[in-house]
Amino acid sequence: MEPTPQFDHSEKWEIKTRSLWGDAFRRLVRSKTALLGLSIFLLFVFAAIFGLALSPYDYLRQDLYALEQGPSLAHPFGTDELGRDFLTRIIAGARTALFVGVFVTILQVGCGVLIGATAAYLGGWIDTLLMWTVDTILSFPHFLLAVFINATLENPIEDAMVTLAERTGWQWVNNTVYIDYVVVFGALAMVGWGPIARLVRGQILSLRAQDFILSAEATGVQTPRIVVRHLLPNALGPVIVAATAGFGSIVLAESSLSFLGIGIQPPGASWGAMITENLGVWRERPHLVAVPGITLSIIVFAANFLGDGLNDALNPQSRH
Amino acid sequence: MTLYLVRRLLVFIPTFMAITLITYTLGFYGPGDPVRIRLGENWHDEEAYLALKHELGLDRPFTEQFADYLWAVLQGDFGESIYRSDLQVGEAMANTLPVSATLAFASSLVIILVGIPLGLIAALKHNTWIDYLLVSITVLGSSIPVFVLAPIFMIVLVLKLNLIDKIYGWEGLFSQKIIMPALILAFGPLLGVMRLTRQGVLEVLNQDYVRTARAKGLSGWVVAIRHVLRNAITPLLTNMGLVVAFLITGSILLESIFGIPGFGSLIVRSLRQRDYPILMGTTIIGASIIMVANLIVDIVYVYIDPRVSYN
Repeated sequence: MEPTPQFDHSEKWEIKTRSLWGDAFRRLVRSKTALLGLSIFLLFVFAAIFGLALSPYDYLRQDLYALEQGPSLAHPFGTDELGRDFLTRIIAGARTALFVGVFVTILQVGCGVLIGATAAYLGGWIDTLLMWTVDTILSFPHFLLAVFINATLENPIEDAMVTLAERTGWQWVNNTVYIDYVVVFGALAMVGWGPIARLVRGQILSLRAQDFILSAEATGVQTPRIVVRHLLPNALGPVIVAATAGFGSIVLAESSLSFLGIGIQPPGASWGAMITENLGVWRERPHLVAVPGITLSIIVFAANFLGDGLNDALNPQSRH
Repeated sequence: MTLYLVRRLLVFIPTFMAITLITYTLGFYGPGDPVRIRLGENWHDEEAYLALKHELGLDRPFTEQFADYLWAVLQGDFGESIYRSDLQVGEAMANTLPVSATLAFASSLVIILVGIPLGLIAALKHNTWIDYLLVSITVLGSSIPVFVLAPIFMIVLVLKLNLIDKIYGWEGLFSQKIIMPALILAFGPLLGVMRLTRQGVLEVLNQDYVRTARAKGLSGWVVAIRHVLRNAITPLLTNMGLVVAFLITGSILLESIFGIPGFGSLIVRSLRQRDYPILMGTTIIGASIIMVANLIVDIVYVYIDPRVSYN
């Protein structure tokens, strides 16, 4: 009589595990629109980081021998009324957009996670007060509030940065372009943290009541381990999706502020400001207003596609 | 229902006060000194400065000044412009709001008359090339802001096609000049309305009562309009607040391009001059318009969809 076969514990029986993120990435690149969004986005990031170093021109240098030129081999998008190479200006605008987009997203997500988690954990009147604050901020016309805060922050931040430069001797702080950046960061971050806070609060409240967290607690898993292994990965998906989708609207808001003349000031480069600068010559040189506008739209559109793709990749249930 | 209305209106009051408080705080700590601006050439005269500051009541504590402002605002008095003491902020807003409202009305007509039919067509022709075309336009178009659309529309309609020649200025609802800004302002919300209509219709299309209506021999269009559209349109209504917010934001960006003397132009002008009393007034009014729009949506919702009740 043959002996009963022993269960083979060797590796060949083990199911190959896939990590959450590897799985999500595989789902992301399977979607054509998400892949398109991702490629455009990566191109944009590459251009923003390395573009200015690769360009033979300086985005601020005025060439008085090459004013208002049409598109040519030397200047693919022509030059503007000050003789600056327009393609280089567009790339500098990409750097501004990336810079503002990344920093404001970090600020918004940071504030949102902190405030949302505080509300969820402390509960009671603090929760009520925080959520009521979110509701109140959201009842403002988003952009109007950003405009107002931007105008308000300008003087105090300029004073603060000039003082900082004097105290510390860091002369680079005392630079109008950096001051504009900080003002825009502040205005957009203050307007936009609300939805993230609400999302995080909802996520934490609903996750804490779920069976898998309860069973983890019941089997004696330590709280930090629950937070890192179970709470965070599950709460992070929706936050990443919201942040990516928010990235597009932040880039849009920066351009809108600069379009009104209160965001990034000349000679700093912003797509919105370029449209304003060249709106006077739209009949003669329409490409000077069309190119920044179309570039801006493509980036916003790529960010939205990427956000949708991430949503499908990180929340597979939402597709049904 | 009455109870719901009363409760809804009661929530309105603290929110309005909070909005006024936030706006006032920003206006209070943000800008340069209004007293020095009023003094003009004598700005360095310390004695006159203190006297004027006292006269304007600006040396009192913040809470007292805020209470005064809130009380005045509730009575419709938003103070006067920093630069022109004869320019009442309330009056300036009352003069410009009708212009923006007219423009918003023209845009709303375009949104409703084009957006809903297109959404209906896309849903009825589900999974045909018409549907795909309309959906791709929605996906691509909705990320284009008005200040990008404006030059693109100008280049295409004026330079390339020569359809319109007069685009700057304002001559009221019945003039050629309103066409371009109204179309541009309508573009984004129109795509949103189209998408929502398409979604709503697709959801309703498979319901039993639609099958019944078809089975008893009603023609396709009667079913589509009387039975499908009526039920599919409720989700549109919940998004009315968003559309109103979009129209306000759009008017800020658009009106100065076309030289329209509306609410948006007033905001941009006072922004360039850092005229804070006007900026504060317009921010409070802008937020109030959106709150009222949301309130109206909540009330109308009950009448359109009897399944919703607020008890």
